[in-house]
Amino acid sequence: MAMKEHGKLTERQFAGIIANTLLGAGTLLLPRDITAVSGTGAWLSVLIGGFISIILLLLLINLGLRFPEETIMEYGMRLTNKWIGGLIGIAFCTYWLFITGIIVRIFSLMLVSSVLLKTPLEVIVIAMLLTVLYFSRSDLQIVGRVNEIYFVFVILPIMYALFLGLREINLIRVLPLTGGKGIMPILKGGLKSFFSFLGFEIVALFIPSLTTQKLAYNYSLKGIVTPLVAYIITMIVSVGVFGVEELQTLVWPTLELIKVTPFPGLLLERMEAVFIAFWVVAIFTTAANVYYASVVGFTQIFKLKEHKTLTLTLLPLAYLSAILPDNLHDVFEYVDIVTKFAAGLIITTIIIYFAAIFIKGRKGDERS
Amino acid sequence: MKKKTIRERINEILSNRTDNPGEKAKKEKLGQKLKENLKLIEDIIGFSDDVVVREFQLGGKTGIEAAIIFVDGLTDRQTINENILKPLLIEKFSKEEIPLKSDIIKFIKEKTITINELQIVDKLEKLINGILDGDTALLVDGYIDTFLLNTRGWDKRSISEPQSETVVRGPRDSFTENFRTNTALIRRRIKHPALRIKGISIGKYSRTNIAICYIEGLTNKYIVEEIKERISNIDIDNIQSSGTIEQLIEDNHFTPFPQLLSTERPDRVAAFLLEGRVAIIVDGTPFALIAPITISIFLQSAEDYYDRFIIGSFLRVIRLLAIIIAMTLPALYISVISFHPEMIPTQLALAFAGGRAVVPFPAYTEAFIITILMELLREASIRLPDPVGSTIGIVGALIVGEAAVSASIVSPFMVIVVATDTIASFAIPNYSTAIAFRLVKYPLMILATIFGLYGLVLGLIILSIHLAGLKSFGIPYLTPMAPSRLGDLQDTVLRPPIWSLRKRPEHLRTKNEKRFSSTGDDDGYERTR
Amino acid sequence: MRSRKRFLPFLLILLVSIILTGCWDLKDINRRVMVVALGLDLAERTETENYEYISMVKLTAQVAIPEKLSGGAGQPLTIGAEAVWNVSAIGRNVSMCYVNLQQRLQDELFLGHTRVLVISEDLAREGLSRYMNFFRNNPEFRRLSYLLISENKAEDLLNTFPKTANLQAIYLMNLIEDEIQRQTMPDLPFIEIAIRDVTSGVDPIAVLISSDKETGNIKYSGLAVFRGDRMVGKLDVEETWSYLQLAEGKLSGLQVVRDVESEIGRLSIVFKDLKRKMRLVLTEKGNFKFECKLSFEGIIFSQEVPAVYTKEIYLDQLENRVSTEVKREIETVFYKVQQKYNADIFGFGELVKAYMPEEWKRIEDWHEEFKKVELELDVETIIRRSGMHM
Repeated sequence: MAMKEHGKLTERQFAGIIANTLLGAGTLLLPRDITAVSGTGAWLSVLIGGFISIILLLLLINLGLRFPEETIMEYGMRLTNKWIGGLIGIAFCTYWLFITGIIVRIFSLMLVSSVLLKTPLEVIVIAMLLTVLYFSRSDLQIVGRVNEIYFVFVILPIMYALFLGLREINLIRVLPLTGGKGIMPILKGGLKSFFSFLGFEIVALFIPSLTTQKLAYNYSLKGIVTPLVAYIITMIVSVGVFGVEELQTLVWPTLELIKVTPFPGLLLERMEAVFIAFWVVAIFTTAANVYYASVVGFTQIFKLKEHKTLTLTLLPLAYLSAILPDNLHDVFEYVDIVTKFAAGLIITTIIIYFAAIFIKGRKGDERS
Repeated sequence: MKKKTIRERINEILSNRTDNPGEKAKKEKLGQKLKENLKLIEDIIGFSDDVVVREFQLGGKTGIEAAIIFVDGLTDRQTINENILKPLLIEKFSKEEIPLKSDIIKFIKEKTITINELQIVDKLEKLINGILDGDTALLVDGYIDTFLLNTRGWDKRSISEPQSETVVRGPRDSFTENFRTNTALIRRRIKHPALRIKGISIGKYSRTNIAICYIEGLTNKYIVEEIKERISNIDIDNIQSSGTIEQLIEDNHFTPFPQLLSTERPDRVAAFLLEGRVAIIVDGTPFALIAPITISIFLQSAEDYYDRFIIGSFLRVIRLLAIIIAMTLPALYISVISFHPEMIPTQLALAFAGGRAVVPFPAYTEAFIITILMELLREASIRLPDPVGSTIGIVGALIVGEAAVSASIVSPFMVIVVATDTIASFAIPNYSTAIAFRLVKYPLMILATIFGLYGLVLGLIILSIHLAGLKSFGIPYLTPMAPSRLGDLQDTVLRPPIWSLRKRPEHLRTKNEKRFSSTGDDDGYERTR
Repeated sequence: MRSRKRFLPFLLILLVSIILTGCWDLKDINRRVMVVALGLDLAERTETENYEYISMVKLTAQVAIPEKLSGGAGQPLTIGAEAVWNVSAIGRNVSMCYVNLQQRLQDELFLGHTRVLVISEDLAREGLSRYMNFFRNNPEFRRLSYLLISENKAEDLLNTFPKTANLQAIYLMNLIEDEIQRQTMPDLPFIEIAIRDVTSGVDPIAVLISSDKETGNIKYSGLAVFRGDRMVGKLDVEETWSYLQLAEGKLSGLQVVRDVESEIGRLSIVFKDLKRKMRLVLTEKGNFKFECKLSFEGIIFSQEVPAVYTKEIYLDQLENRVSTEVKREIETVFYKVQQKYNADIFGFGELVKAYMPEEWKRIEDWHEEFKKVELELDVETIIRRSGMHM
């Protein structure tokens, strides 16, 4: 109900939001993290992680379509009672807030380690968060439009770099395709890869604002498959170029990948600064979308009139979660915790809400 | 009677003293006696020197007195003499032909005056406005009804070439300051009955004529309504140029980016009208306004469509490049030189380092100094009269640049950067957009100074968020890129062949009854395919 | 809007405070020292504080002098020795050398444009990984710069100025890139060597350069063979060609064989195409066999004798001869590397890892296994044309 006043989203914007939110921090850390667990079978892990995400996404959309006018916060509170729905909502919003901070932290860490060596981390974080703040004050339409434009800027460079990287692959290093260690490591890797897919659940807030709701499945699939393909290619190329052992020694494998890919005779030689520039956009979309979801979510739970007031108040919390980890290893720990928490939260929510629908015996609709 | 307070009394006296003639014109009424009417009119107009009153008697033996009032300079005296005075003086008014008194007016109107446009008015305000518009007022003693005869004529500039939108191949006529000339120029290019030109008069004192032009049955009704409403709501004293109108009706004031296009060229106006847009002509200025506008329009120049599509596309791409360069080049320079020197090839990096070795300032100071210098030069060259202006521009740039390099204030590369930047901004076809992008350059430079490339990107992100939020009369500014309308995308960066431009731009929703409002529209549209 | 009014001043204050605090990473290009080449040598162990008595290293940085290079119209072009300055510093490891070096320079060292990293043979024989980590950790350092092993001291190499070199480091780099293009040298950027070092199943190799300071000659003299991170041997240029043909399927340089008819004159054959097929087989004996088939296509580059090779028989014989020669040479190199140096520079271990992962898990020490590896080589040659002259 509240979202309607903010305007509507086109289907392409919907897909764009999903794709942009996913493409971000995951690309930076993915290869090392997952190959540590599943070796050369890492791409399979990503596939599995992606699959699980797709299923969860479709379930969420199904859930959301039963309440065509309400977002998950609203129907959640109506479907179950105020407290359960509210608690779930708050859990989501807090986790989104936390993710915003973590993602900005990860990216800022990368910047500080490679390009802006002397700039204090806090400053980089604040700069990004301020931009996120400016963005989050907009209406939904602007969110949609910005995501739509940025999609091109986010996906093209990644794809371009990856295709150039294909030249550098030493195919031997990609084999054996299944990792040679058995199925368990691949599954464990799948859970880890889930981190790169986090954020898709924010669509639960945007379903009511979609213009043609029956196309939601269609476009959300388009939105999630693109990052999935990008991740798989990234994985294969990273492993192909570096080999599993070397990958373990690289903190920022995708960045290193860019560093070792020679670009055909362009004016600029070391393209990584340019790619970092595009990455800023990718990270920005992720952090901004998730922060926006968090703000809007809280607005709906507490039934406030507009979301602009909360944008400022919640920002310090995001900042805190960005500077909370002390060092890189803390960051990885938090990533792990958050991934598990998110997976659990989403699955639990889906179960609870579907159960509630079942129990109430009908499609929860305003009309009755 | 209630005792008035002192304050109220003072107010009363004051308001009586400074009685606005305009107010008076509204309050007073015409009477039947000629002399009284004349006095009233002269009183309101204030006995200005250029207002001429000619009293006479109608021809024939009736002895009825009449008078004409007109403003010298706004009227064509020949017409007044030949077509008003002459027939009235020569005509033999006789009591037989005109049985009733009231018939005189009818008689004059239908049988005597040889003017092609006239009105009969009985309201004083309308009469006075008419006189000030250039009509001649004809008053007949004993009648309240008066005539307003169209005798407008004044010195005007003839149609010449456009000053700011020159093309190589294409029509060269441009609008002038004369309202009727302008509307005629449009009429001549759209000779279809559906073309509507609706006039309004805006501005309390300037009473400027404004016309809203659109194509009936093609342009979306609600856009027209919205524009009409906004214009009618303008409450201001003085409209001297279309720029004022633009500022008063635009959606968003806090942005350097224009939401209406101003153009001097009637061929462009005609093309825009047929796409489904609305044109606003303002009397007294040769610039017409077009609304609604999206950012892709600013990439276009009229010529794009007159040449073949490959050429048109090529030129558009060049212009897009120009925009990007004009906006980001100095910031890029700062980022690369100060933060990321590994980005340029080694030989070049060494050349840069060598060039900068003797400069005492850091790169950003250099950049700021010389860009501001360039702005000053530009402003200066606009003020100077034509032949001197361009020379000074070139000479100034060359000499100052050379001197600065020799004095080691700036490095030679900086001069190249700034020169390219300036040239690029000249390549942007629309003046207001060019300025907007020039302006954006500075915050980007500041951000680049603090964070290098990261800052530049953040700045561009903020810029795009800002642009995404702009609307022009309900149409999002960044259409057709966001929200994307695939059908319209083809005409953005590239120019597709004429035969492929069959459909009108989707985002203008021509012939479509979907509701529009300027505060919220829906980005989605029903998918029928 | 109320919220906007409250928001803006806050934002402004925040922005201004950020701006005022300064631009931390801003370092103009002319305040940076452009290091175009680096050299690492062993230094004398004479430091009195050298309690652990480990080797000291000497880091030599070749620094470009931009003022001399930028020139301008009408100024003489500075090349060679005038254009650069080689500075050295001694320290316990690379990072300490780096710091010592920085103390001598007015501007900050910048490694973003370092094109070559030269390591002297002595140091390579001691073990590389101790020193490589500095470069791996450094974000400025180009991963694609070339790591070279110098037969003389690295410092000497950096001080050798060929007469046509504008910038010595660029000269080196161009030399290497050209050789790589001609497929006579393996493409070994820094990252490749690092990867080989870390990856089990393959050993690093590096390009060998020798130099002569007096004459200003720099020469590509083959390959340095590593076992783990220590250099254990060398291959000369022809042997490197054989390595290239076997391991990477590259064409390499000239192949010289005796003339079929007269058995005296020599013919030089140049290969134009090579197709390589590799197969891994586990023999009954429990060791690995690599079956490799090489199909060459070549032309006659020049011949000493006027024999005409249009006749079928002669051509066939020539082709056979070439094949035999090539096979012999490759096998010699292989056995030399396998037995004498015991280094798997060909990457056979990776093949096992890729195609037989279970077997790979079984192996404890690949180097031991590698000694038992069999190579079955089958070479085929087709000679297409003979140039301009019959």
